Amino acid sequence: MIKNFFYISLVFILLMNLESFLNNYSINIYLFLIFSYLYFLNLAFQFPKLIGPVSSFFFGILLDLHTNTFFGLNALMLTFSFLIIQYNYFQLRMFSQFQLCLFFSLLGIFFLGFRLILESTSNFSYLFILTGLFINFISSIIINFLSQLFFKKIGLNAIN
Amino acid sequence: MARLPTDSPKLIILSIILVSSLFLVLDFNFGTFKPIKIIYKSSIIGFQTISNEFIKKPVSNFLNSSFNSSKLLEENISLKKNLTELEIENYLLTDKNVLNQNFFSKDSSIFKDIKNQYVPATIKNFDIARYQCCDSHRVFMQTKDNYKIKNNQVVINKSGIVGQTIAITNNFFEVILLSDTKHKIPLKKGNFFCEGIGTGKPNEIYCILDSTLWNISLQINDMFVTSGFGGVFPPNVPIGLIKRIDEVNKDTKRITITLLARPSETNFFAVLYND
Repeated sequence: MIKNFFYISLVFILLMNLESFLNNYSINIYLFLIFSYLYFLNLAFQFPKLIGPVSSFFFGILLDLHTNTFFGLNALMLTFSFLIIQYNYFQLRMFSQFQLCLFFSLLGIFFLGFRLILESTSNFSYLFILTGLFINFISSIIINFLSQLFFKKIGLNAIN
Repeated sequence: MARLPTDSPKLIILSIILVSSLFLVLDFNFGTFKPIKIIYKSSIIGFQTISNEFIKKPVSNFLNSSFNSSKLLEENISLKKNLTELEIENYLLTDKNVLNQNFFSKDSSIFKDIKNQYVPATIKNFDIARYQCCDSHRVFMQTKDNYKIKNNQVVINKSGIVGQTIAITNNFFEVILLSDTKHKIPLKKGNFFCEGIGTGKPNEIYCILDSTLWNISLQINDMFVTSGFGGVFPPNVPIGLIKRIDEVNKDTKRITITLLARPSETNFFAVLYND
């Protein structure tokens, strides 16, 4: 359990670094990548027993520190996202992978929107939200596919 | 209440939401967690520096040595650094009259020993994505010989003033750029004085002109200089050109100024002494 959580956290940290590296370039074309958030949504959906409110808070605080945003912003957003997934867990189970990716990308839009409203109050741009929907959907598909491969590799089975 | 797939106690969820909200309110209003963020950032920068020194550099040197280009590469980097230092010195010399007025100590002439008037500094962490998208424009820097930087020292590059130091740790210091929405710089144009406030957009600040108080006509490309009020920035240093003049209402105009010094144009900066 602890070993799995360690691996999961490590991938989360790697994705945080990857997204902040890529954002330096993608920001010029109004793309804001949120790989770590989408990965967290996958985790919260596939392993509801491993990812609880405390670990959501932990991942959120990690993201807060890494992105240098207001402390508690990502922690709050991740805990709320965890709650949304938990309360709709049985409905989401009936969704296909495609619908799940669409749902995660919509959640990603809200996450991005709230983050940008607080971080960029004077220069909030709807273009980030519009392009975000498209890029989140694509990255959601990729992350969903890759995370499932990774979970299989470390021997972590989703609850079905 | 809806059925949950796990037995997460609702009290824990509620308390976590409350704690997160409290953190957010405290940090948003009072910047309570600023020291934690700076310690984290410093440790990350320290880790990056060590890994660069002991892993990245030897590996790239090894790879480059196979093409016999490692020496050339090192020479290129050192020449680039020297060139930027000379450009900064050139900037200081060009604006010597302005900067010498009340910024440098009266005993030491800038011509005698220009190297004693500033400390070279290099960028250690610059979040370009946040610089492009968001209101907070900050850069982490390090001085050459770990010279102890104080708060509110002016940071320049080869084109002019880029910002001022705000948070100091043992090895690094944070610089707030002129375009940060929380930064204000006293400016003037002729007899008109105003506060240049960061817009949150790269290389842009703005001033508010109240025509009931100031009887002045401004044109596009007019130069704004520092007024010297507040004592942080030396007076009469060119800051930027008017890009746009927008009418907010009948009596108020918003003047958008494009800054002369872009922080992204070079890796090398100078922190001016203020003693």
